[in-house]
Amino acid sequence: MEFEKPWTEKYRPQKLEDIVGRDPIIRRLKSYVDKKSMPHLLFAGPPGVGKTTAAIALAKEIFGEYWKQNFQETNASDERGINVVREKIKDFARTKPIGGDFKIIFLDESDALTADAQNALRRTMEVYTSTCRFILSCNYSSRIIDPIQSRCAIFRFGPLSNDAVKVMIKKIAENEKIDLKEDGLNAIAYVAEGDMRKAINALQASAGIGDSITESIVYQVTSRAKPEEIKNMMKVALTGDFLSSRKILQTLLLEQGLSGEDIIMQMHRETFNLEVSDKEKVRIIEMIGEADFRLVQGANEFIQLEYLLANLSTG
Amino acid sequence: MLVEKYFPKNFSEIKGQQAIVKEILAWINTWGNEKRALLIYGPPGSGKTTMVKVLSKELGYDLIELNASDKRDQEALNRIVGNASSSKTLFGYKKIILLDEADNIHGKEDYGGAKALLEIIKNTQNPIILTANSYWEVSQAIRDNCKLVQFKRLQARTVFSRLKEIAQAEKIQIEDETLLKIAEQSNGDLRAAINDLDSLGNNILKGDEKLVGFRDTEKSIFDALSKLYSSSSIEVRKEFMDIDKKPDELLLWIDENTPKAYKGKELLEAQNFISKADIYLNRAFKTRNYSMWKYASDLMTGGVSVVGEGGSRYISFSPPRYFQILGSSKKTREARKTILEKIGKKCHCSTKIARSYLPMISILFLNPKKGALISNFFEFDLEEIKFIDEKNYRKIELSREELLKEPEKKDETSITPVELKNKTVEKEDSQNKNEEKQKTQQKTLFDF
Repeated sequence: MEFEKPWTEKYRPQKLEDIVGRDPIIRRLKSYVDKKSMPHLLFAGPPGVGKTTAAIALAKEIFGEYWKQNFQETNASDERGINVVREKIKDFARTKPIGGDFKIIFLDESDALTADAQNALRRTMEVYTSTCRFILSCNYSSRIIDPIQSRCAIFRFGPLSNDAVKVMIKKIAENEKIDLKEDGLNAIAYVAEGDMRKAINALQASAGIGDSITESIVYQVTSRAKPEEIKNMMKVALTGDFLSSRKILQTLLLEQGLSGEDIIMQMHRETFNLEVSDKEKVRIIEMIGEADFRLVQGANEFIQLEYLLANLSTG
Repeated sequence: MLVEKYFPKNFSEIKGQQAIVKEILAWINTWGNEKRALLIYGPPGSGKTTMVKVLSKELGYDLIELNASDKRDQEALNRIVGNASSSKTLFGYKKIILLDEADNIHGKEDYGGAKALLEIIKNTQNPIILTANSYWEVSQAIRDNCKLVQFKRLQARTVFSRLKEIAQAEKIQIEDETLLKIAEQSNGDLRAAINDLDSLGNNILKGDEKLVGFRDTEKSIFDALSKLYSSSSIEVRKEFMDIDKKPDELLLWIDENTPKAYKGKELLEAQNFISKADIYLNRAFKTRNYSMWKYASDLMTGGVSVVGEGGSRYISFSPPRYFQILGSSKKTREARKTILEKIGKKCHCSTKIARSYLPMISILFLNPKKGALISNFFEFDLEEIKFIDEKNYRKIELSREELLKEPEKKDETSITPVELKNKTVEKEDSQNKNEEKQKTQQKTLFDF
């Protein structure tokens, strides 16, 4: 069947050397390819900076044609229970590698694993270390328990530089024969904030709307992707209308299924865009911080976020 | 079952609602002069449905019944009730249409049900009777078109006398004192009282009534809530001890109603205790140390109570919307989840990250061909395409079928010229309608 890939996939670098803006990391990874051996790895960094791409490219270069058989990808944020570690990961770890000495388990967003699951994982890493290597990716390495960190070579992926983003975006635009204006390119790099996935999605979305991609089209496209409702919810709460803001929260959390964590992250970001004094902003951030803390400690996200709204609306 | 065996056979056996019997008889005998439908509302077990059944039997009407276990959307109502309400009777039989539990016609599941019902009520050729527990749960448009009759909670004495009749007829050994206690704890629900009697067997001893009757009636939670907000006392926690609700559910009840009782600083303080109670609940669950529950309970009841000034005033309490919303949005949440899982699988990311693809995808959907191509890649089915873009999904599906007819192209780059040509044509179109499209598009995007 004829299809079109999202460009993030179509242009995902297949070789380590094609990855832009990551030279020191790539050099180290290439040495593993040369030796055909590697330790457990921990890739830490924000989304869209090349962690998954590097893991897949590394597997392809080490295993060649057998890479698919020897590489397993699991996303911990969707399957975060201890059973994932006990069953899925263990099952793969205990089977024999094909055409090589070891295989690779790539555990994406592994900071989403509970502490119990991480401890189970640590045992699995030890027991199957002769046949299996782990690449763990995470946003925050501090959320990975120390015993796992000490078993891994740690790679820190910072946000990509604007230049690295621009190189990639230009390349895609040329290949897709898109008229990408200079200000459009700058705008994409600006909104992407070092996140390549965001940049490429912004490019593809812009290309879906305008013939030539200008600054205004990019902002038009990306501003629509922003969840205005969260900002709106904060504004409503700040006017003192607790009940209306609570209704919006019900829609976001219960109907649309956003996670409490996502909502609070957005609220924090939106605080800087509110039309209130800086003093007030600081006060709001303190409230959000307290709510974030309670969110982790509490059982029901709705109740905890509701308390934050009560705080905002009482002033 | 004693409840069925002693179901009233005629008006004289209906307990404690004599004045109402007359009112209803008058309505039905002069039917057509007044409102065409009757709404009977009152607490469970007060005899609403019983009344209608006896009525139809005594007056020789056919009873057409539709209760909450039947689907009651527009189509079902029109099919069953609509037919019955418009056709005059064959062979001279008269009909009564009974819509039991009319307060349970749901907005979502019984789509169009409320609207269809209103039309039927206005035009019916036969008497329609609706029953409901609460007057307020029936939409105002329907209330305005109905004659209203209220059934009061039965008095304990009335329940007692019926229980006594049954006990004698069944030769059940029981003292009056015990029988009265069963009647009292039924809260005026005769059906519940008869069931309690039934479940205790033929030789009932003093104190046996304590074995039955602890129904999780909403009345008791409403009473407890009312005391909570009017007393300003930590002792109010005792009111909640007998209520058979799990602490996390109880917390949602209190959470739902607190903003009705408190404003401003009081509200903030109360929400703080609710939040803290939730934290203790989580500690109890996580550490399996359920003795932590007591702090949660004390804070959510006593804590929230002492925040207020006390003093009684009327608040209309309602059950938590939390479960209601979760229930009615289940389908959309599941649809969204499978879409995100498909994206996550193809793009090597979590469902959380997969969300960030949705704005881009919905923009591609503005162009049917692009929409079809990207849908093919993610292997979206028709329902999922519709979920992402309710307006354009037909066009995308058509374009998808077109793609299937065209000879398959193996080389990906050979798609490009076709696509580019297509793009320029479609572009003009999309440029013209850009603004309009964005308005309609907006909603789709925000839905995520």
